[in-house]
Amino acid sequence: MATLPMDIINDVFLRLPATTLVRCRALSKPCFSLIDSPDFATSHLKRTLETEQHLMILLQSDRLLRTVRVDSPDKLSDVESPLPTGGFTEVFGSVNGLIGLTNSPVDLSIFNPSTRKIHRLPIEPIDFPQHSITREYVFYGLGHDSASDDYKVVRMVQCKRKDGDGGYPFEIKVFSLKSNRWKRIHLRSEVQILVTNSYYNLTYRSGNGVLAGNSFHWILPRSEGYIESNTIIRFDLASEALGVLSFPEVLYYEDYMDIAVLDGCLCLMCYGDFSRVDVWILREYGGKWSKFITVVPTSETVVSLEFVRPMIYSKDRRKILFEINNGKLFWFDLASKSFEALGVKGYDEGRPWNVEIVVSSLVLGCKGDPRRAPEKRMMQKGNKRSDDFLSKGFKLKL
Amino acid sequence: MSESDPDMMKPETMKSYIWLQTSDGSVQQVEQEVAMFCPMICQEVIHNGAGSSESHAISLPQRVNPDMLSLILDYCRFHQVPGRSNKERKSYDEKFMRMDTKRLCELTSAADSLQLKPLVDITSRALARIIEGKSPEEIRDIFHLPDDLTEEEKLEPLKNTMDDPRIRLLNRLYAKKRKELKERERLKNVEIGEHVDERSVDDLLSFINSRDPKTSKGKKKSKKKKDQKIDSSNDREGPEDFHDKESHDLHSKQQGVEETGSSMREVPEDDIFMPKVAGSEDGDIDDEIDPAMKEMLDREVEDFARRLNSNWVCSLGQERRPVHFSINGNRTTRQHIGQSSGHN
Repeated sequence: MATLPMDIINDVFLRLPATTLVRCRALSKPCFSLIDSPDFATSHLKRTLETEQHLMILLQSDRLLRTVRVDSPDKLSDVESPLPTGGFTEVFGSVNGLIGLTNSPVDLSIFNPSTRKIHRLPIEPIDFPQHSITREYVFYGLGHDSASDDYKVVRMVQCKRKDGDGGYPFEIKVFSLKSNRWKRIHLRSEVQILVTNSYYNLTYRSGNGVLAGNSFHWILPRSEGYIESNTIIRFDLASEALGVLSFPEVLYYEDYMDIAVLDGCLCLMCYGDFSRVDVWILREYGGKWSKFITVVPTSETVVSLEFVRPMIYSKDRRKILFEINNGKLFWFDLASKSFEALGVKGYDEGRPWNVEIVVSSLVLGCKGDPRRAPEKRMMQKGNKRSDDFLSKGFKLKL
Repeated sequence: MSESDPDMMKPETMKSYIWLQTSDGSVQQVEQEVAMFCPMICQEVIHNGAGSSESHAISLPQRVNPDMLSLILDYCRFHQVPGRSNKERKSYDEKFMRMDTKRLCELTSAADSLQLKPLVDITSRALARIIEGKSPEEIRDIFHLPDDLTEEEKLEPLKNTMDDPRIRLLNRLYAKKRKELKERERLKNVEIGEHVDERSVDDLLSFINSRDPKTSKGKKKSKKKKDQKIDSSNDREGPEDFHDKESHDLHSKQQGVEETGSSMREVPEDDIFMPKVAGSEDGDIDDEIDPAMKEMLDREVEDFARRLNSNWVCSLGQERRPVHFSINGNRTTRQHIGQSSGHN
């Protein structure tokens, strides 16, 4: 029987999720080099983005990372935590199969849960002394800059002590994966004045930047008596400039507002009085906002709405997957306006979970963490015999 | 249009046919509209004027045998009818794909050589679905892939494994080590049997029972052997590739001995494919080494690893950070690592 030519195998591999590809990589030499090639990774990513196949939901709670396929929610898998113990890890951002992890504002990483490849960012200290910042009020963003085809991480920190000019200074730094370096961003004066005018208290997860139109977005919330109106700031990944995004005036004085992205479109969620949430949508970046849907709690399934975030559409576009409150997932039927729990088995509802939608990709490569490799080899030998054997070799050759 | 053309003379033949020849030499005629559904055949007919008669049959690519051709023609026959709805076509495709994996592979191959993209698409999709659930051996079998990766490459694949001279050295040493372990294994069995005459009973007893590092003759022997091996390996450029068979044998031997407690969590998929490297059998051999020697060797190994490690870290362009030798850290304790006390 004739062997299948490599380009058919290529075709078949392109349809597989990244987790399977990591296993297929160990099959034989041709597969190894195929899956390792950057061209393959690029075509694979392109394909999964276009076909919206193999989408996963990532759940994170402290050091626990779990993934579940959107199309088969009964299979929950654990992902080994890539970070060492200690600290409390939070996930911020998900793009092209990568997630951002923050152990602390100075210790960030980019991680691919499919291939388990992690890239630790260089430790980047904050200019302000530790007591002048609030760890929970740090802004993060992880995204892909289509202009430079680069993955970037943004971190913004505000100092709670006024400076000489009477403002609360902001520090903005951007990390580029290509250069593997952090860079400070300087603000234009009008933006500077705007953002340093007040000290912003961020609410639950509102420090995580939302990616749309090649920019990150965060809400600078209003605060009764202190800050008059809400502002949406945006960080353009290409020009690396901070600016402002316009939105309907009627929402300027909303007390609780969140921002999210659904199918590439920005959404604003306004919690009127916790008994209903209005969702506005910006269908075309740079266009006009329109009211999209109103979500109301139903007495049986969803009792209260403290945090509502649309994640993705169902395949037939008739439902939207929402994250509600502390990481509970529901399908919202657009026609009947009813909720149906996603039904992930074995998912500890008692814990609060951070949720992200993750694409299946080979971005960052399949390599094991190269820093662990010699360690692992030592481990594999597991015994002193081979160790002394190695060291003998070491003496003679190196 | 010659008058003697038999096809033209037959009044009942309203259709025209294309002649096709498969890899086994047999020739058949196929309705034109069905055959022309395949781009490759279409090309041949239009550009080369082939297929119009039995003697001018289109020679199909080697991968298209009669069995596959008939399948492909069935597919073409169905799909070339313009009136069908998408639902009908999808449903036909679903049913069509139901066949065993080997045939599916043949079909994909044949369709690909005929450039019948829609069929290649659905067959690839079907194959992808099948592969997702299979073990590596099964996948290799389906695709006829050689099992030609080394154990290191399978466990912790590094890019350009062969390029870095240190890795090459490690691999070579690892290979020699395995060969040598096997040798020792063999010798041990032989020694106890054959050389019983040469040694006193006491010697023999102490060797068998205590494995005392100070007195065991066996240890000395193997040490010498080891030195020889190392020297020889460094004197000349030994063969770089070592046989996987060997490593498999070694692993399977040790496999039964000890399987360690893996992590409490559900085992992620790819753990199943990692061969379990047991440590305890080698652990016995450890006791033969002089503890002071052990210490020194541990330090050397750590040094070596740190050197390797730090160079890698630098080459990644990252800041130098203290390396964590936390062996029990993130990865599951699949291997028995109790002995590696020297590292911490």
